[in-house]
Amino acid sequence: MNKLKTWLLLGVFLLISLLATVAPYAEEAKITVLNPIGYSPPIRRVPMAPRLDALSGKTIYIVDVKFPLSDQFFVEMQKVLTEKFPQTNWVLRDKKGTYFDDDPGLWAEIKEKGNGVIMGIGH
Amino acid sequence: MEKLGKPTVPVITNVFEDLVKTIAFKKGMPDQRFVFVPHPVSGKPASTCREYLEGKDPITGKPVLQEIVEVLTKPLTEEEKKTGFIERPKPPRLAGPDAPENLHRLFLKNGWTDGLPIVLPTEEKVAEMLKGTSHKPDEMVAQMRPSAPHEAWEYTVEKVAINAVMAGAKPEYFPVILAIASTGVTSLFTSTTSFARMAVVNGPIRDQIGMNSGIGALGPFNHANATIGRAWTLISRNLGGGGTPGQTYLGSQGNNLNYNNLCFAEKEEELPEGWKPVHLQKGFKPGESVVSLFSGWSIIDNGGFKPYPFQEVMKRQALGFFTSGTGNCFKNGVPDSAALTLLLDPLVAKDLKENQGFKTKEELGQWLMKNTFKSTWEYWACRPDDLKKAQEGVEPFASWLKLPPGALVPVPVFFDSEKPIEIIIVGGRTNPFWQAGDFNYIASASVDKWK
Amino acid sequence: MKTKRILSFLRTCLVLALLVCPGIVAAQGNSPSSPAPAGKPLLTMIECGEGYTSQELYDMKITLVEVLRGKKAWDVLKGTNPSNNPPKAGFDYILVRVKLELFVRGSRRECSYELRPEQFTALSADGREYEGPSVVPPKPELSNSLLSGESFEGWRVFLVPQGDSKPLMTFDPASGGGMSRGKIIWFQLY
Repeated sequence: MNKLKTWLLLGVFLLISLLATVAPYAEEAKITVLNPIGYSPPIRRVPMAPRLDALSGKTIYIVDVKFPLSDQFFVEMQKVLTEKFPQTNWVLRDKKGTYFDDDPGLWAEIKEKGNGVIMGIGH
Repeated sequence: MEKLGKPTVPVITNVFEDLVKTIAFKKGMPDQRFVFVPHPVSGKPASTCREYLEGKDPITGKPVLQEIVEVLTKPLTEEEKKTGFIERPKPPRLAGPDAPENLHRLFLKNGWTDGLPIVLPTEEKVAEMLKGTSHKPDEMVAQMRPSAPHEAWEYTVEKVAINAVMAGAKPEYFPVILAIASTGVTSLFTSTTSFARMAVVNGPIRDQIGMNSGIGALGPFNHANATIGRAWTLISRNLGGGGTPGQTYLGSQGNNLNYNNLCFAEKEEELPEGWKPVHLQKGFKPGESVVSLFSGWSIIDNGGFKPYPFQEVMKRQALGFFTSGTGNCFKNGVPDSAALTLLLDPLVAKDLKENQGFKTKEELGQWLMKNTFKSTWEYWACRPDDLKKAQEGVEPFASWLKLPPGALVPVPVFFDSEKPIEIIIVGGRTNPFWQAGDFNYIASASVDKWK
Repeated sequence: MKTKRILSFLRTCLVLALLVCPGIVAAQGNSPSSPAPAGKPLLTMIECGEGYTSQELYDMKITLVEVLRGKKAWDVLKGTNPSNNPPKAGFDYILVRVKLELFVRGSRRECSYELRPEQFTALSADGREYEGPSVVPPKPELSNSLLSGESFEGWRVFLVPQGDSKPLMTFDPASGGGMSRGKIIWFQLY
């Protein structure tokens, strides 16, 4: 029995020694690194415009931003919407230039004469 | 338009759902209402377009026409009426402490790498990299965005150093990497067309840091070439807000050149007399170290085996591209805007100078511009107004219409005169090969400024 | 060649000025919650070119030189043009003078930066935009084409509720229909 106790104590002692030896290496294995990500800007929320009470009697612009070979989509859109909602004035307009270009003149026209806008399309 | 007080319905094809919602959030409209239709619309006949319009939104399942009406008329929710700011917290400076394998996993999972193993950017390694420049770590270098509609991210010298460490670069390469970063040009442009980039280094820095301009210069054989080019990609992902497929990167197939961005040094020592190196062509002085960036899509290899004059073969190569940069004429009303960059082995440059008589790079470029013609089918496809004139009997178009199939229309309309053909000398003289790419020049930056 | 030397000299002066003048700061910490006051020059960056196949990066120094509000602003506007009307009840005019200087990085200098009044907007601290009034500002207005090495100073007018004692102003190079882009800069209009 005494021999057993001795062996047990020795075993516990060895185990503790082993853990004490290994533990620092386990800690050393952890490293800290720097974050590679850049800084994103703050975002200002843009509230959406009030919605229309109805489409009837309104003028809605359909703006083709001029992605290549997609004009037929908007020609068809104007036809379909006119068929389905004949009380609304659906005005089809091409944005000037390519799909990169701005068109402040068109936006000014819409601001003055339009009640809403449908805009597209890429690809 | 919403800011102008007009309710707006953006109509988008369905493959761009992630992209448009990301952009809307970053533009301050996280609740923007969209209507989606099947992709693509471009080139579809009117009957298909009508089907799309009378059908369902592939994302929501709702009828498209019903959604258009709802976007215009359904009253705003409280969320949609909100004003104020969304200030995004700065990313934490440190990551960890953790075991290296866990950090590798973290970097990969977060999309901070190019998929290949990286060098973990410990504080010690980054401090070592920062010794490669006299600029302070917190100095702002530039801002970069993946393309025009996206937001720009800012980054400091330290942030560039972190990504340079990750790429495996050495501190002595750091001024070149900083110079590239200072241009704000991304190597991972958003476009669906899968852009490629090229970085060409000139000046004494090439030898100082052991760059390769000889045998295998465009291949995986040189540490500086490899890691500088790679750093540009990591910078574009992590500091330029780019490289997230579906949101900030839409390249349908991607471009393998993005791994290293064709980074090499020009073989200035083997330039024929009278042929200037790239940096002098761009206005820098002899003795300056400069990096120049180019943008395109593809590269074609060609063996300069006689009896063909090399410049005649180059004309044929130029006509072989059908990418967004050249060979396309799908932009109605927009003139052709072809671009060409030639990477010539010194043997090819020597032949062009001594046997073909091109005294300068510019002479060769001008000759190619004046003598590269479109084939008849391509000409009429790109010039519908000229075709109409031809059919009405207007000369010289009417005569051109009588040319046999396969003939070339004898008028130089291929290249954009605003974009010179770029010619760069690189290679080890083992064979008279050259590579042609549909690349155009974007920007140059002084490396010396960043030492 | 001479022009290049002059521009290079000016750029060096700008950099040296940055080193010796602690007042010029990078717009790094600039945000809606940390807007720049009048008199403090900020360094920011402008991207010029459509970005698809061409792009140039410019350094821009921007300073909100002067802010006039209420009677002071109205006195100037009254003297500027007889057609200018006083502000509507419950509102003040705010008149600002802004200075901008532009320097290209790299060697190309192909872009001219199109400065437009619409690039400057007044808003409340919680982000509500105030509409620009229909008055004639003093000359020069904030509208010009700037090349690298050039500077410009101009005026802009805003109409702000009297109850808003701490309005902000943003400078957004992407507004106004130009092909430029850059960070939105925030200023105090108080």
